[in-house]
Amino acid sequence: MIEHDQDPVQKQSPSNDRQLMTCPPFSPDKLKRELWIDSASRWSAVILIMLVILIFQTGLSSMDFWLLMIPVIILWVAISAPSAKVLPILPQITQWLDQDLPAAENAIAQGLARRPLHRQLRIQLYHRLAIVRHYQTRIDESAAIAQTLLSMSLGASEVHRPQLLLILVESRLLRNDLVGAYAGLNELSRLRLGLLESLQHLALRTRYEVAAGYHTMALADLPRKIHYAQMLPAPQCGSLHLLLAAAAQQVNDPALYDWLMRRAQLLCEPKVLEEFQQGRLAFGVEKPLTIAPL
Amino acid sequence: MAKGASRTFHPPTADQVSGHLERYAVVPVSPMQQWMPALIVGVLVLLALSFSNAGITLIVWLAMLGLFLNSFMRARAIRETDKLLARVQELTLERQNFDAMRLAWQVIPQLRARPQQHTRAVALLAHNLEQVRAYEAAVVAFNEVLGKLPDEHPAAVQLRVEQTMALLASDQLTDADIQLRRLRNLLDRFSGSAIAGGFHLALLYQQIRTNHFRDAADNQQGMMDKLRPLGIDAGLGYALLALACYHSAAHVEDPLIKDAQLWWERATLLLPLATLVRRFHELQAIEQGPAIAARMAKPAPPTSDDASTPAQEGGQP
Repeated sequence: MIEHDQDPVQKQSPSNDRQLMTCPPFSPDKLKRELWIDSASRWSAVILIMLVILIFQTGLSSMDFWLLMIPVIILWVAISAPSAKVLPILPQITQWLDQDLPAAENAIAQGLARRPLHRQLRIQLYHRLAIVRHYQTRIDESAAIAQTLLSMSLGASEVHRPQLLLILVESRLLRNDLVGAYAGLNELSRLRLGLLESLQHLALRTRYEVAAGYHTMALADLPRKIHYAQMLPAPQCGSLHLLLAAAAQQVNDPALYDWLMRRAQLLCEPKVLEEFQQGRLAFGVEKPLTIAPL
Repeated sequence: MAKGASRTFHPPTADQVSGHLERYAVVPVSPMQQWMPALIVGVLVLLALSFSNAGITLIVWLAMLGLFLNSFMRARAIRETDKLLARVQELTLERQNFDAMRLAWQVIPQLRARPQQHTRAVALLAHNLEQVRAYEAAVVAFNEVLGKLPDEHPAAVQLRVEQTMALLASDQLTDADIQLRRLRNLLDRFSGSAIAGGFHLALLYQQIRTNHFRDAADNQQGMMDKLRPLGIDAGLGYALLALACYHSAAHVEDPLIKDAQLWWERATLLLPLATLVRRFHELQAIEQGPAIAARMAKPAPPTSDDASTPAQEGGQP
């Protein structure tokens, strides 16, 4: 459900080249501790530099100043070096999310192993890790990362808040936690979303409405929903058609159901249709759906 | 962007695209330029520490402030350009191809110092030119992007598929055939993806453009699975299959007419008739054919096709 920036220049994927690292299970306490250490080390260096400059102002000789300043500069470089090494691989990680999940996780694990990191950089790495876990359908972990990040001030990474919320809502829907999903959707509707995020929001909201039995609401403004659904990749577009077909069946509109199902049959893989018929994708749908032959 | 604006925009010609891309080609930023602000800060700090003169200290602080403001303004300009580029992508997704093309044209000069974003903008320009059937101009833009990407990069393969469609549409059949042969070797990596779907659509279109209708009709088995990853654009492939079956049928009672009817129904279930005919003029034959009726879509979804109608005479980009 998550869309990423596309970087047209790609390096060779490392997943076939060597043993790949994996990230350890997520712990909110560990993340908070790491962020604290990052901030503490950076602020310590800043305070040290300020102190040296203040001492110089009180009449320190030029030689003594540099004797103090050089170790502080070395300390600053040592603190900044891990971030400088991780920052350039961030766009590459984003690209691997679409193409090579093990490579993305390997790069994230290597990045997170470095200390100290710039706070924003660590948040960005955990944001990418939430996406990796979501794609790996380790939804409990992806939801935990998203929830932890959402509970703190994200600073410049606030732009990722909608994406984290989308991950959280989808995880809750997959766990059939409708109350939690509603809260997340509500929060999403208060945010300013881009087109891709709006499309994903629409898909999740429809899924929630069908799961919660609000079939009429799911079918409201249908032409617009279909128009936007058509912008989604084929599998998601097909799934949305299936959900709307389920709603049409529940409100007893056979003509609409027929039209939506016929389109869904052209858009979805046979396996997905089969799963849907067995009720595995049909949240809250009481009757099994019949799939007419094409 | 106002929809009405699109009506006064005329797609650029191949020469105009070539000139625009040449004029606003990427200018690499030298390492010296990249490190210049840090160097200036270093010199200013040294100056401040070396002299205790109040005047010099004031000048140094003013210079630092100027440098900071300059960096701030540059960062803001970069953010604005990124927003414009994201908007081009959104317009492309919404199939408002004329608006997307115009914005991409405008944003390219601002991306000269940023090679990756420049490549992305040119790729979007090429895609939108192809969508509005400015095929020769699209081929020029595709060539520009493909020259910068590794051959096996997924984006390069995707763009090469689109370029092949443009080559076929503009009757550059030999070049299109060469592209398809190159793509065939890469296809295994993209099995079941939209890229593979695009390749099969291009193959089908090649058969139609070279009047090999029978070959296309004979290979209709399994085409649904091959074209499905394209989403609703699979409708374009189904329409071409309908055309192939239609032209291959010897008479009205031929079973191929029934196949044509079935593919046409599928095509018009996914895409409006007007979109199909606008994209492939060859489909007028089947649309006007006596044996096939388009299945009416219900409820008719609103499309953004109106925004993509060919422009009236008007200003150049």
